[in-house]
Amino acid sequence: MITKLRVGIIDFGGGNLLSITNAVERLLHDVSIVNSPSDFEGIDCLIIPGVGSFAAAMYELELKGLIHPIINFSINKSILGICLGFQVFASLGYEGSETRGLNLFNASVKRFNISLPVPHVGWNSVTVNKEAKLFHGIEKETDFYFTHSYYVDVDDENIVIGITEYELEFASCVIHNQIVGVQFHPEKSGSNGSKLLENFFKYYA
Amino acid sequence: MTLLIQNNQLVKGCKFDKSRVVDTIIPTIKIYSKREVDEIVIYDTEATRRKTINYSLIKEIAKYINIPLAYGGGINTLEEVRKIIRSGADKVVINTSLYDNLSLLKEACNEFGNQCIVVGIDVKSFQGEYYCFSDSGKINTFKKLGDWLNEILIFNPGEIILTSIDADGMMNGYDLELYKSLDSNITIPMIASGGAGKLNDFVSVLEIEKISAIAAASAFHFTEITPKFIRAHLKKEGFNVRK
Repeated sequence: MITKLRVGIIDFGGGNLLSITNAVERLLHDVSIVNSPSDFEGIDCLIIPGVGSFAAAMYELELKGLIHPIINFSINKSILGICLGFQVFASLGYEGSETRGLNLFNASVKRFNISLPVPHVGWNSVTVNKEAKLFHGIEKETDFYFTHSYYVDVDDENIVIGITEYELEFASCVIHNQIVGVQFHPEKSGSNGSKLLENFFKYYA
Repeated sequence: MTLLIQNNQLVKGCKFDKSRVVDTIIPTIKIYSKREVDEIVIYDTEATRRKTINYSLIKEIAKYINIPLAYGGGINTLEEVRKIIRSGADKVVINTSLYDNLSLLKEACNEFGNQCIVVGIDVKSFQGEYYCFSDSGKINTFKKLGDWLNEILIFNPGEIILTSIDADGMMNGYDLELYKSLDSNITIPMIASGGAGKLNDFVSVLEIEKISAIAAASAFHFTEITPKFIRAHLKKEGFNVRK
């Protein structure tokens, strides 16, 4: 029997929360949209979704007073960052000008400067290079769905659990204590994506 | 060079009638999600005539789907694109309205990013030339395919889905001549659509360099072919498919 969790999903005010909300509810957990510091009451784990820009996301988080509550939450509880949500975990983002991220681990967010088309959109392989319960029941090389123009350049290789190649190799999955970041969209990645979400709730939340 | 990094994407199209919407669409969506298609494209062939888009259907579909979703049918304005995406679609397919308003393509790519915007082109062959048809294949625009492509490509849409009206639904294979006739300097991902009936049809069309993805509907509705069979077959033939 799985315990029903109360999953907080951060609302940036611009993005589409439907897909991730549907994905969580399909796994039979309850969703609580987080818009302000008081919305953290009773949340078992947090998801930071994201489509859009690093700077705009950090600006929204600041405006809503969510930066400190998220950092505090990360001390004892789990957070899953998806795509832009993963990117805001970093220390710095370079998007025209430099913007500070949540700094949950040392990393900087950079734009793809490659000859292949940007954004990187479509199914691509994630090679899992370390043991992690997040990928329990998922093959070491599995395709997930990506759509992004920026990637996370992580300082400490030890926290990079999955890598993907798109002309250059970048971190597609990072796990640092209870903080999990994925560059791809598990809510758009079919059954492997659902499995990954299920594993997050089962082993990390 | 494709946006999809040589992954051959399997896209399923679904044509429907408003009155049968809830009964037949949702179960079909669930089945194909479960059967692991790479992406689902919904076309509302009545939307242009009705002049309205069924957003609640898109929202409903989005509830059951765990893969990318594209919607096409009756898209005329930027606001409609916005609402469709907010309803849960990841991409939109725009076709008819572009013949009168090509600037919509430019605006939509600017506002939503070109990865959200797919241009649909439906063609019929006449005296050795391919002509573009609008309104779900009912109206001949008299534009030649090559000319229309040149106009479209200036705005750099994310993908183009090119359907042979003659081949569609016939299950006699894709119109290979159509895809072979495409200009070699087109760099935007092209999705072949119309005619698939057997496993080898997918191989034949993907062997054409310009084609990076395939769409099928009848092959799924009327045969026992599943996405898994197709991927396995393509893999055996040496194509890079989703793992």
